[in-house]
Parts: sequence; C-alpha cells; structure tokens
Amino acid sequence: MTHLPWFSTRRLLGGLIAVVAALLLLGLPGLVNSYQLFLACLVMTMATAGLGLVLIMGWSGQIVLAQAGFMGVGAYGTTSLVALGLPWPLAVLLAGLVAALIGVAIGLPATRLRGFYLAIATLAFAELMLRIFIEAEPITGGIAGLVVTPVVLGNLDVGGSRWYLCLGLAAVTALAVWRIGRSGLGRRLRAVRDADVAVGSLAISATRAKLLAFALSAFIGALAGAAYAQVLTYLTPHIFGLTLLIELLIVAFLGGVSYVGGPFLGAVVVIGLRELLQDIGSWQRLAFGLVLALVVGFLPRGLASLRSRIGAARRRRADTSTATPQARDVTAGVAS
Amino acid sequence: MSQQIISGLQAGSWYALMALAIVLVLKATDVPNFAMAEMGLFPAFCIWTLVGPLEQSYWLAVPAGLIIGAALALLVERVAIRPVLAESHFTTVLMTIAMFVAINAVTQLVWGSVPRTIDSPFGGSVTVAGQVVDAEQLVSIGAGVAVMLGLLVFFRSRIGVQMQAIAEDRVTPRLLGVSVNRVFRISWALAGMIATVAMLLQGQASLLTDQNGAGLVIKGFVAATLGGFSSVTGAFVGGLALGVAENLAGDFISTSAKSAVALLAIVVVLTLKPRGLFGRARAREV
Amino acid sequence: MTVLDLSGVDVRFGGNQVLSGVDMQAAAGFTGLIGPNGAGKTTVFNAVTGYVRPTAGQIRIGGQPVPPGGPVPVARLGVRRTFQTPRLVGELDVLSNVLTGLDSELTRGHGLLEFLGISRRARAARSRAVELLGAFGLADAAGEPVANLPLGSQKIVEVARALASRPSLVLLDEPAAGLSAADVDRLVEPLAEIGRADGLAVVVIEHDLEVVSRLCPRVAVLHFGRILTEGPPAQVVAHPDVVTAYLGASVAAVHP
Repeated sequence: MTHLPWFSTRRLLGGLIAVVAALLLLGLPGLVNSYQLFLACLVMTMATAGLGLVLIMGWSGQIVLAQAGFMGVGAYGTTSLVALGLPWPLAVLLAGLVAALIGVAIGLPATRLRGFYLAIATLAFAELMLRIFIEAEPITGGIAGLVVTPVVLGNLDVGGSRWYLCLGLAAVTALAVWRIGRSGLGRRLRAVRDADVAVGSLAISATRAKLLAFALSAFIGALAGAAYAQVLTYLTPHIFGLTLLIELLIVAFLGGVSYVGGPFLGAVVVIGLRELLQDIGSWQRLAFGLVLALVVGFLPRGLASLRSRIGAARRRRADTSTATPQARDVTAGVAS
Repeated sequence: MSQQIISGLQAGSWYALMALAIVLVLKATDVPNFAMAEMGLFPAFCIWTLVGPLEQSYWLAVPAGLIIGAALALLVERVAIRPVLAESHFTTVLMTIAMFVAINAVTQLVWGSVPRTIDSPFGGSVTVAGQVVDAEQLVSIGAGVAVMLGLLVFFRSRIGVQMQAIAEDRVTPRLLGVSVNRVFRISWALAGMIATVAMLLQGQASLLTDQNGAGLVIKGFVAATLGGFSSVTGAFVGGLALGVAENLAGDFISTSAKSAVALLAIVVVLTLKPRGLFGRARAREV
Repeated sequence: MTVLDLSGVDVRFGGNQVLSGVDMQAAAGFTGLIGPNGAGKTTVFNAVTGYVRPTAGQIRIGGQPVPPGGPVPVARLGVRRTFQTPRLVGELDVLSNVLTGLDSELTRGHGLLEFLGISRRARAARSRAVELLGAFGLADAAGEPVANLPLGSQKIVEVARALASRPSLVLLDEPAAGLSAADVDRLVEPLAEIGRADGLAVVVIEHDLEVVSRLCPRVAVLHFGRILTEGPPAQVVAHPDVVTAYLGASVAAVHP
C-alpha cells in the first residue's frame, strides 16, 4: 500500500542502492581477504538464525530461548547426514524438518504457556538438547567434537563456496520471512501477540499459528546451523550453549525484532564485538550482556525503530491533530 | 541408598534456597530473575577471597559476603530492573538474562575460571540414627530449613503482607501509603542474600567455579516451578524433591540421567500442571 | 428467519449470576441490545461467541446449537464480533487489520498460494477489504499503521474487520461509544447499507439511543441479567420498567 508512483527518484535511488549492494555481496570473495570473508559468512549465518527469532519472538511475541539448540540440530544433523552419503542440500532439508518437528514437539505444551513459563520451558529444552549433543557421541562426537566436510560449489574454492552458501541461505530466508510477514500468517502471528482475545472470534486458531511459528523458526534455526557448521568446520556441543543464545538475542533485538532487516544489523554488531574482544571470552560476554541490557532497557523495538520514531516525530510536528493519546493503547484493556 | 538421599537433600537444599530467592523476587516485583544465581555467585567469590588469599575468619567473611550480596541485588534492581518494571515478562526475562551474562562475565574477569575451594569450619561428620552424615550436609539442609521458616514468618509480617499486596496490584497499596520502592528494595536485598547463601553452601561443599550459577539457576527455576511459584513451602519441597530425584537417578540409571531429571521434570510439570505440584491458582494470569 | 436464538440462557461466575433465563432472537437486519451498565450485555455476546459457557439454556446460531471448544468453532459458523475497546494489531496498517478478518480463509494450501503471491482468494480478500475501507471512508488511511489512527477510526476499522468475511451474524459491542458525531455518521450509514446488501443479522449493544433507533427496528432491553422487554425502540424506551431501570425510580415518577 505504498502511495509512491511506480517511477520516482526515491525509488530509482533505492533500486540503485539495492543493485550496488547485491553486486558488492556477490563479488565479495574478490574484494576482501579470506579472513574477512569468513567473518562475512558468520554475519550471514547469525542473521539467518535471527530471522527465525523475528518470526517467533518478534511477530508471535513468544519468549523462545531454544534457537541455539535448533542451530545445533541443523549443524549436527546436516554434518552426519552428509557423512552418511546424502547430498548437502537434501541433508539440510532433512535436518531442518527434524528441527521443525522438535519445534512442534516443544510448541505443543508450550503454546499453553505464557511469559516466563515459556522462557523456562524452552530454556530447559535447549539445555536438554545440549545434553543430547554431549551424550550422543556416535553422531556428534561428544565433547571431542566432529569435523565438518566442507561443501564445494562448482569450481569455487572452499571459502568462496562457503560464502555463497551462507549468502544464499540468508537471502532466501530473508525473502521468505519478508513474504510471511506480509501474508496471512504474518498477520495472524501479530494478532496472536497484540489482540489475542480477538483472534478466536476471527476463526483464527492461536494454537495453530503459534505451532507454525515454532516449526518455521526451528527450521530456519537449523538452516543457519547447517551454514554455521560449514563456517566453523569443527563442531563441539558447547558451541550451541548459552553464549550463542545471548548472541542470537542481540542479533534479533538490536536491529528491531519485528523487522526483517534487523538481524543483519544485529549480526554485524555481534560479529564485530566478537572480533574486537576476541582474546578474552569474558570481555565478549560482558559486552554482550551490557548491549542486550541497553537494547532491552532503552530501545525495546531496536535501532530500526529509531527511523520510524524520528519520522513520527516529524509528522507530529507537521500535524498535531491526527492521533489521540488513546490511539496508542490499541491493545490495552481487558475484555469485560 | 540413604547416603544418596542425604546427598540429594543437600543438593536439594541449594536448589530450594535458589528457588526461594526466585520466588521472593517474583512474588514481590513480578520479575522472573534469571540472574539470581549469578547475584549470589559474585559474593560467594568475595567470601572466598576474604577467607583464602586475605586469610580472614570465615565468620567475618560470611556476613561481609551477605552484605555484598544485598548490595549487588540493590544495584541490579535500581539500575537494570526498575527502568523496565512496568514492561511485560518478555522484557524482564531478556533484561535478567542480560544481567546473568554480564555479572557472570565480571566474575570470570575478576577470579578467572580456576575452581576454588572455600575452607569452611564444618569439617568431619556425625552419626545420626546410625547414618554417617557430613557436617557440611547438615549445614546445607539446616540452612535451607532455616531460610524457609524465616521466609514464612517474613511473609506474615507487615512488610511481607505489603509485598504480596504489591505483587497483585501495583496501584492500590500505593494509595494506602505503602512505599512500593522500599518493598521492592527489601525483597531484592533479601533474595540477594539468600542466593549468596545458596552459592556459598554449594561452593564450600564442592568447588566454587564460574559455571556454578548457570547450573543452579535452572535448578532453582525447576524447583520453583514444581512448587508453583507462589508458595514458599512448595518451592522448598520442590527443591528437595528435585535434589533427591536427581541423586537417585544418577545412582540407579546413569550420570547423564541425573542431569536430565531436572529438565524432564520441568517439561512434564509445565505440560501437565503449569501451576506446579503444590501451587494454588494465582488470581492474575501471567 | 431467526439467525440467533437464545432460550433460557444462564451464566454464572462463581456465586455471581450474570445472566438468568435470557430469551432473545435476532433475524436478518439490526437488533439493538440496550440496558444499563452491568446488565450483562457483553456477557450475552461472550456466551454467543463461545468466550463464556452458559451454565444453563441453549444458544442456536442458524438453527445449530453453539459448538463447544471456545470462540474458533463458533466463528467458523460465520459469527463475528467487535469489542468495547478495539482489539487491533497496532503495528499493522489499516488494510492488513481488515484482512485479518479474512485470514481464516487463507489457511491450509491457500496460505502457501498466498505466500507465493498466486492466491486468487488472497486477491479477492484484498479487494473486499479495500471495498469496505472505501465504504467507511477510510481508503486514504489504508496504508497507515492502525496505532496512528484516532480511537473513532480504530473502532470503525474493527467493524470493517468483523464484516469482511460476509458473516451471517455480527455482534457489535458499543460501536459508537467514544465516536464524534461525524464518526457516528461515517459508521452508521455504510453499516446499515452493508447489512442490508449482505443480508446480515446484526446485534448492536449501544448506549446512544439515537444510534440504536437509526439502525434497529427492534430492541431488547437487558436489566440485571434478564430481558425486561423488547420491541420497536420508541415503544421500548417509553416502557415504564425501562425508564425505571435506566433512570431509577425517582426520576420515573417525575417523568411518567
């Protein structure tokens, strides 16, 4: 519902920027050194995982703390299925479906839970998955770890293949999540979050919508995990522990948890912090804790909301009579 | 078998203490505090520094640690929690997770990741009803019981009643002249001290490491969930039951079963009885 | 034909009898439901739409008893409602909020078709939503986040959402409360028009008796959980019991 004409300077400029960005991303292996390319891969991977959180935490408004576990399912699942002889894309798909099934299994009891009960339940599930990664030595190699077979695309080198894999997954996921956001499912999820009293009266099943969100975000988490495995080349269970969860929360929330672009911004910051403070894990963790606290405390809708906030302030100055104070409280109040 | 039960009760007491701290904060301020264990771990390390490198008396170090625990809790409440207090659980959960990571990182930065031992004055063992019990175990169990009884009395006191009134309704008590901020501060300070006790007891009975908090906070939440979050006795019994169940599973099944007990328990309870085994329905939906 | 039929409906919350033996019918067209605050009007809606289970009595919609299992199965029968405070998704634009009223038709395979951008149903839904916004004079606001709209417009958006799926029964809970006179006109005219065109049965809870008499040829009066009387608005308003219920006995004595 944009009111811009199909041709305008703004659109032209936006299109130009998009084309240049796409060319830069596609040509990145020729522009940066292999370590920088590795970092760029990490950014794309973390952003992909964060896109799953946009669906479930941003739109459906559920506190789900198991995304690191789903990444683990994707990473271990893909790697071991490839070891069994499956081609990588099929392995990713299968691992993703397994993660989605686990997501639904978690979701079934969890859709009845609200607020922090859901946080505890999903955190417990994440811990349980971590335990399983440690114990299932025949598949995961346990604490000792698991070497990942690198995927090579055509006649590209390993680094280049990895980059196009990560970029491709991130791009496809972003596109899909963006479409979902503008589709009936995206509306239903937000309605579950903001107008949960009303959704039933619209013949919308909140449970179904929530379960779909669980399955999709777990699937996306597993996709990201498969890419993560390619980037790290070596998996140990504790990679998918609490620190990754915190990083993912920052990825999802820093940019703004309702925005498809948000996770990309968040991922750049997280990987940047990792790089800046790479020698000492504790400083990293301190920085992550403080950044998350600052975002939650002062920018609950993320950096992306700054733009619309500035825009709104400008509009308010231009026209003070459009919105009444009550308009802010759409979702407040209880059914009587 | 009975030795397993006694060690289970000992570990269960730590879980129970952590659960009591969590329930206290939740009852008073409606904040599910995922940083609770870290808020006790930092002061427990301070106690280690006082008793170990600084060679102070244990009996001087513990009160000092408790004061640090209360002060840290007050600091966290003022700086991180109060600004988001009006927000939903969504926000407070994320904020306390952030605090959890930040405090843990500071603990690591100060004391590193080397496991420490605290020299406590509770050595040796006694024989109770034909069963040899470590003094350390008796101290843990005794401290758990004492704190639970203390909290039961506390919730019947004037400030305790005010606290519960505020948790249910933020506006009316204020109109009646109750200082909400004062009640919040008291509950957080108390919870910080209880968490300190829990982390200290665990640290001196086994080892004090920077990883202790992450383990114990989940156990505390599990115990509180078993107890239904609103009940002091429920949280306490939940902690003990969890500790015993873990030890028995570890003994009869396997060590990996031991670590799965808590996680399975929480899944089962939240699925079947979301209000907890001993919980009464809360008036307000959460 | 009777679309909604309540007979002997009781609703009790604990020891609190909110509705006792409510008998009420609504056919195609507009039916008003009036009564003083606390009379139980919204509870009637909640009972019909499956939000509350009656402790006794029967509710039939289009001849069928209200199915168990909460609001969703009732809504599937073609029942829509609004709420006293609008329950919209503030972050979504106005058009999308109206579309949520049609989203139950886009589940299963149709969701996937819509995701791919090739769903005929989704296109039909969109044009229906656009048409409704046009009818209510909100076409210009279609792209605006609904949170930026004044309360009056939000209430109209909620009415449009309720009408979007061409339901057979619509329950409107105080649609005109808090609306300016201009907003009332913007709501009432198109509402009456659409109701006629779609052959809807609409039940309206409303305090503003002028709105009620503009829309509803028939009105039922609820007082302390019972139906006091029903009939044409002018007649009902003059009924001595109604005057007493609304204004209290002393005033009724002065204005017989």
